[in-house]
Amino acid sequence: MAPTNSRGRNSTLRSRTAKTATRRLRIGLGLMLALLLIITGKLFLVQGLDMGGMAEAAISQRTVAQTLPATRGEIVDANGKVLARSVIRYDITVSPKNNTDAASFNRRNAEGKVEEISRDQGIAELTSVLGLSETNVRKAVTGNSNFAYVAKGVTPELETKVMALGLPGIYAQPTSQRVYPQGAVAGSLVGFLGSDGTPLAGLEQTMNQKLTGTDGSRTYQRGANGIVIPTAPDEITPAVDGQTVKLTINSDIQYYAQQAINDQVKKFSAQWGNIVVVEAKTGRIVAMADNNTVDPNDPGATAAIDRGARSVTAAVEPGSTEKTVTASAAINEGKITPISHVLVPPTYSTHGQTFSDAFEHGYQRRTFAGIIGDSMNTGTVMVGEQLSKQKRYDYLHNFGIGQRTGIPLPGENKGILAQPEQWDGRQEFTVLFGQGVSQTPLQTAMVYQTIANNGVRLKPQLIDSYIDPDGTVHKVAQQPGTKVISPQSDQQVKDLLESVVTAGDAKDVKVAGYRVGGKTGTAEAPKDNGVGFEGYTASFVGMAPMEDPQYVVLVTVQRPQGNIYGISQAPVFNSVMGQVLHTYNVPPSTTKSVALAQMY
Amino acid sequence: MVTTPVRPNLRGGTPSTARAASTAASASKRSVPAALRALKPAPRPGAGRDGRSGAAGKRTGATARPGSQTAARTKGNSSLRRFFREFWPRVEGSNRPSNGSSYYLILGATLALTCVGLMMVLSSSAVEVISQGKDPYNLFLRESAFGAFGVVLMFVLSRTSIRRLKKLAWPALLLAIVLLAMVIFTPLGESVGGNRNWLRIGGFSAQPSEAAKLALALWMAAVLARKGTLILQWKHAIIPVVPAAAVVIGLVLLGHDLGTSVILMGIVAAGLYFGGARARLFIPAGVFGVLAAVVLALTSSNRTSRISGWMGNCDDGNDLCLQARNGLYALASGGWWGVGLGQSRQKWNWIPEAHNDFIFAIIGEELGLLGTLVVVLLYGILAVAIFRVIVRHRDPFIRIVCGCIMAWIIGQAFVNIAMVTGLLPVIGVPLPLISNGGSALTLVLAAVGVVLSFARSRPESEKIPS
Repeated sequence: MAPTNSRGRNSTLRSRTAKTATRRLRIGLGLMLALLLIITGKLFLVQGLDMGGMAEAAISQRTVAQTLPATRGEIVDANGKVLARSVIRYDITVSPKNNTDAASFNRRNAEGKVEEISRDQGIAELTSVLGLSETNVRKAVTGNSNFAYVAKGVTPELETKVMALGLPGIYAQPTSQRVYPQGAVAGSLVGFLGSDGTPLAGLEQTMNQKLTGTDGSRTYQRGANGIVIPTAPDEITPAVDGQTVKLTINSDIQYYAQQAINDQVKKFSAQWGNIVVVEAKTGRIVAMADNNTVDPNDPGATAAIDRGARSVTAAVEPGSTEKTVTASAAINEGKITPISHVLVPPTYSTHGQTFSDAFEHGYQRRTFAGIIGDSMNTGTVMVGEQLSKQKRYDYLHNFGIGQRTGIPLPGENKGILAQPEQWDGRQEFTVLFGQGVSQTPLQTAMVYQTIANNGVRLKPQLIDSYIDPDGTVHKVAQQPGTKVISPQSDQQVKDLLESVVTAGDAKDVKVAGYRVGGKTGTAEAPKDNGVGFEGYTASFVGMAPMEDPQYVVLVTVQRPQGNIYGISQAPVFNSVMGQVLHTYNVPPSTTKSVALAQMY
Repeated sequence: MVTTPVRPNLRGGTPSTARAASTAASASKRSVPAALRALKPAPRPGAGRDGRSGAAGKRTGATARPGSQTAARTKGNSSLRRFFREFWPRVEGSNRPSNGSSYYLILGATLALTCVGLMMVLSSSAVEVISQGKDPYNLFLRESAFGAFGVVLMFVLSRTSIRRLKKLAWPALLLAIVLLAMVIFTPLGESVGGNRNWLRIGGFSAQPSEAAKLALALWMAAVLARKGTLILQWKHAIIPVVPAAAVVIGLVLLGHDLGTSVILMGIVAAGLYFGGARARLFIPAGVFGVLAAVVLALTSSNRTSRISGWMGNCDDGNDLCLQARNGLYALASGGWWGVGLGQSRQKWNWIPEAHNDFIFAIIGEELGLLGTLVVVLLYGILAVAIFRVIVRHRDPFIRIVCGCIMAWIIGQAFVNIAMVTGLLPVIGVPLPLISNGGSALTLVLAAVGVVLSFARSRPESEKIPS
């Protein structure tokens, strides 16, 4: 087989070629398999080990966590009339980029045929539906950004119309809006929310936790075009709506009282005024009216200082209405009876302090009822000084002076009742007729609630109940009261108060068909800076019907001009008390009025 | 014959005169026909001897081990050596007679990949097609029709004789060039996604560049095979292959289809490489290729942004970069076992046109590492089976054609998967047999048909005993 020379060379060449070919085939296959091995390794790294946390990143890219907002609970009055509620409104938003990019779009007309609508026509339609200026709308929908507002807080009806236009890039975003259908009625109690939904005042603020509820959530994965991916997990936690807060307020009486106090403040050019109506046997607040009440739909229209409920935030020196506390203490301690005789001098001096009355008089032979009936400081000090300082303090304290009532309204003022050992030489006597002590109108009203309720003081109650979204009612129970004076003493105090109206200086107070009792109050008002006095605080507080008092009404007017005496509030008291008694169908009195002798 | 001086060299330079001597003595049962065949006179002088003696050498190499193993000093060391020595014979299947297994391996792997492809085209396209308001089966049915046509074409080509294939080479190339020119220079050409590589005639559209791949492979093989040893001269290696290839690649590049031109360059390189062109020819070609790649990359903002995206910078909102990142997200989401067939989340428009170039990412997400490795394994099986066909044949035409087709399918699969896994920047290359695309599927099936026709024809060396 030895090849010839030429064949040998040729054969060597060919065999070299063949050798090369085989080697190259192996290298070629080796290369191919090596490439496949490289991608196998890379796949192992990417899929098996996922070093870069790509799977996590992919999930977070696709996952959408949506809040399912809980609807805020309502605030309703004692009859279920809505004072505050949340409604669905829509913000019309736009992706200006999407809208600008589409020079025209297709829409089905009423006959179901597809029409081509130009962008200009679309903008014109949107403008007319929303009732806005075309310049503003065009400005909002034009641009390169991805989000802008076209209109905020439109009604569902309007939203339906806008979305029916089918404009590209226009979306509706549901939002919750708080509305107050009764407007300013009880506005100072209900309060309001800020534009971002944070509660800023009133019950909206203090009841926020009950009203808020728990937001639900939905977590799903979306495709790049926003579609929910059906094969991916989709978790929904439903929202739990807030509770409805039912108040003890009767919005009809509240409205009536607000109108009355508004007129009264205007009439006397006073600084402010308010009316408190309390149900005597339960402590329920029927109305708590302020003049110039804030409308929670537009809190900005009212000065910040006037937006609250002054019946609980403003502490004033009560003046003569406090003589009822002194009378209750002296009677309950057995120091005196309403018909006890007191020889009252023109002025009375004790411990180096001299006291005079609002009217000039000589020596007068007064009954105790006569002292209270004409609101004499001299006689009150003469009777009251028989009580030790500690007793004077204890009775004031037991009637709730100097303590917060616990009413769920923000910024409640507890007033100032100094400890007896801190009283100066004059203050120990002035507290007997309501100077040198300060308290809120609500605290004053609760003193008379105590008298009206046989000497048992209750806590003022503003919340009737909480109602779950499913309708379950959680009544708020009244706490047991505090016994301040005995029923026998209480009856004597009631007679004293009725005599003020029937025989004393408050004969202007009349509610036809009902026996009424009450007390005027005229106090010097301390200046706002606390140094000296400026003007007066005029008030009248009373109850009816006297045989079994059901309601207490307090009218307070700060710094009235002209007739500054408490009795000037009589007409307001009469009309509000009359309205309350009629509203609650209180039977007219059938017994004879008490009119204790004022002189002996 | 056994002791021809050529043989030791053919064994890959293993110095083993001792093993050669022991061959005849310790010939096992399996090696008997090989040894017998080796002793028979060559059917054709020269070439036959080389090929056969090469094969015989390998076989003896395989059977020599039991004898020398007993003499081995360290057992572990020798078994490792044995593994390496038997590696190539095992891979080539040259340690046993041809039994048609390659044919079925190629056919099986190809049909498996095609079926996986159709299934995944349906899964990955349905969401997007529905959102376009079309029938969800739309793309799947089209692709299935092309698949069926491709399989028919594959069987027809696998029954075509080598001689006829050789005759087809020149007309095929001319037709491909004409069609490519029509895409670029006539209104029949159509651009899709910035690439002008579609030809639309009536309601029918196709990508001639896919056909150009097969035509170029056949034509190069025909030309280079005829040159024989002349290919060792660089002029013969270059003319006419390089100019003709330059025309084809140039036309594809005119249509801005960089991905296809890269694959075409790979096919040309493979043709020259398997055709036996001298190695030093590849050095200037490689340098030229790298320079061209740099120039092309730097002169186009589109390409620079692809590269910066590949480096991990998606900040410019580049869609391709986001596509690549979402592809990786899909693969990683699949983990070891996948989220389940049809349950991909990334196909919900995160990966635009997931049924095209990024279909592998959806496979990875739905079927996990298990699924992707099975696909890679199928490509590996295809490579090895094609290789087995090649090594049985001495005809350079067959070697070159099969080499080109192997480089084409495996190379393109590598480029695609490397792109999806982030090893390469985004190059628009579909995954062979799997990605949606009628022309690509049909032509790859046709190419496999050509390989099958070689797998069916017994090598000359094995025809002799019968």
